[in-house]
This record gives sequence, structure tokens and C-alpha cells, in this order.
Amino acid sequence: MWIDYAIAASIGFAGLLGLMQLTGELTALSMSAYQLTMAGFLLDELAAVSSWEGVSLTSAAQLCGPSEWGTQALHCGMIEAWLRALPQGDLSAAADGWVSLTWQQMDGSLMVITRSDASN
Amino acid sequence: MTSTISHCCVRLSDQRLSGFSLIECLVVNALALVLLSILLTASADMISAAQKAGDRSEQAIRARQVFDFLDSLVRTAQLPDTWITDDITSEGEAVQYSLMDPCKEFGAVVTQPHWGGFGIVELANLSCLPGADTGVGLYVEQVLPCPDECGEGAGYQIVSTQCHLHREQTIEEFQWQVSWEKNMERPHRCLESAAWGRVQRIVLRHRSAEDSIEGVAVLRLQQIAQGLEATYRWSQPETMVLGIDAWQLSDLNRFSDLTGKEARLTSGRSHAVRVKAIIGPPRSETALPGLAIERLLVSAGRPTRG
Repeated sequence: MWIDYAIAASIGFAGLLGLMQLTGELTALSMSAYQLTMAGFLLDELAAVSSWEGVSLTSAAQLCGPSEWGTQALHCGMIEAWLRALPQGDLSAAADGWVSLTWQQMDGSLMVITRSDASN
Repeated sequence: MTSTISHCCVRLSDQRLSGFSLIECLVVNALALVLLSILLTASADMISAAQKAGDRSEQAIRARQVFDFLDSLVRTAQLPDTWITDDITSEGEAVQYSLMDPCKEFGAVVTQPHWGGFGIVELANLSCLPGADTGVGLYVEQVLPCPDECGEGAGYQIVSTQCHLHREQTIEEFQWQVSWEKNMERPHRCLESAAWGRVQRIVLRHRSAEDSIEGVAVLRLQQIAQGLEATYRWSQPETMVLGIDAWQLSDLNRFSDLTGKEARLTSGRSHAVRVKAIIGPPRSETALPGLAIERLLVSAGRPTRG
């Protein structure tokens, strides 16, 4: 009888663990889609700000990213808020004109998307 | 004999020990119930969290679709790059940004160096729009190059005034004119290298949940009718997206001076409109706040029609 109980309990636990893993993965997938969409908005807005202000994309990234002095040289709209919404979000500009946006996903891996003036 | 009885008693005693007492059963049941309720609560929380994350993601994707559509409208709200010659983009020709009146028909004899643009319109002032509301709308005049992007069917065709010139003839300024055509095929007797396209006008406006027949706030699209007849008229508004709880437009080319009078920037830089939309949750039972997205829509850094 104990063995019967043990088998039934282990089947139940396995089912629940499977359900929890499935919901966890669904949550992670939805979060990834949300973060990716927000990151896309951020880079689109950055491109629009750079076009409006007449500066390069890399300059706009440097001016709109979190500033050490707590002020921003440009009116960057929601860029800073979106950057804060991405876990460990970081906007960096490379010398070759590319801007990269990096953030940490739910599974701990880093996601990077890039954009350049040429792709505007 | 004695040993047999004793053996029998031991067997009886063993049989009794192999079952559960009532107390044991109750304890086991209580433990199982507690465990089950904990697991059910945990899994219900996880399912709810997954549902919320899914709804949030759906809101973001819906916002993305709306703003991608707006970006595509703005991108075509000017003459295509390949149609523009360098000499008319000089600083000297930088013009103030102004759109043609949406209620004013295209005049076949009117020629202009620039077509296309976008801006904010007061809906109450647009008597030509059926079902006009109050508030503001985003008005876009698109120029879609043919034959790749303009589609088929009747509509307003834009051609260069150089289209009908002979090869040796030139005119100093590049001008364009718009006329009604039954199809978008290449204009007759037009030079092979001459460009042509379709001009389309669109108004996007918001309708609140109270005013909407769908019972939810919607974004509606209205365009000039593409029927076979050449009558200039606007179509009935169509629902474009459901669940846009709020929609605000502000013109970045306008500013208030110190006297409070509204003025317009006169530089030949890009034209820009800031759009703020609040995307409602996909399901009303999800206690999720609206997702506010604010984006800058900027035309290319080229003067548009004055």
C-alpha cells in the first residue's frame, strides 16, 4: 500500500512540476517578447530623436543613455524609462557607428540588439 | 498445539499491524490536503503570472503594430528619395511645413515642387469627413511610387511635369501634378525614365469606449475614396485597432512664445509629431494597467510642400 501511495504521489508531483515548468517557460517567453518589443521601441525612438536633433545615432545614444550627471542633453522621450524597464539595460555606442542595446533575460543570458545610422 | 495457537496469534497480530489506524488515516489525509492546497495555490499563482505576462506581451505587440503602421505612413509621406534632385533640397529652398487642406480637391492644373506630409488636424474643422468627431486626428498625405508600391485601381496619380517633355527639352524646376486616373498604369506618352505614383490621403482618429459601437476605445482610419468616379470624397471611417484607451498628439514644430501666442518653427528641418497611445489590456478581467507608449514620428530631413 505504501508503494501505491508513493507511486501516486510521485506521478502527481511530476505532473505539477511539469505544469510549473511549462508556465515558467511561457512566462519567460512572454517576458522575452515584451522586452524585445520595448527594446525595438527604444531603438526606433533613438533613431527618431537623432533624426530630429540632427545628430548621429551614436551621439544620440550617448546623450540619451543614463547620464553620470543626472541630466540629459536631449529631450529623449521615453528612452530612459524603457532602458530602466529592461533588466540591466545598457545602451552603448561603438566607434563604427553602431549602437547596441544589451539586457539580461529571465534565464540570465544576455540579449543584444544593434542598429546603425545606415539602417534608419 | 500451544505453538500453533501462538503462531496463529502472531499472524493475527501481524495482520492487524499491516493496516492503518483511524488517527493515521486522518493525519495522512490532512497532510495530503494541505500539500494539495499549497500546490494548487502555487500553480494558480504561476498560471496567473503567466497569463499576465502574456497579456503584457500582447499589449506591447499591439503597440508595436500600431507604431509600425504609423512609421510606414510617415515614411511614405513625402516624395520618394529617388524622385528628388539635389538642387531642390538646398537650404535656400527650405520651406515652412504646411499640409494641403484635406477637404480641398486636387487641382489638375496645380503644380508643386513637393507633395506629401503629415500633421495634426482639428476634426471639428473638417466638414468633408463623414462621421467627424471632435478632437484631433493625424492627417497623412502619402506618395506611393508606381508600379511597385501603388497598387492597382483608380485613384489620384502624381506625375512629373517633365513627363511629357521631349528628350531635348528641360524645365528649370522639378514640378509635380496630381490628377484622377482610372488605373495606375504608366501615363501615356510619358518618358520611360519619368517617375509616377499614387497620392493617398489618410486621417487617423481616436474614438473613446463611450462613443464607440464596439464598446471599447478604437483607432479609426479614414481615406479618400478610391471608387471609379472622379469625385473627391472621403470614405466612411473603419476601425483599425481595438483597445487603444487614449491617444494624444502634439506638434513639435509648434511652440508658444513668451506672449503665449502659438507660433510655428520656420526652419527647413524635419517635421515631427509626438504620439502618445495607451494600449488597454487584452482581457478586461486581467487587472493590468494600460501600457503607455510615446513615440516621435519624424519626416526625413528634407523640406516638404509649402
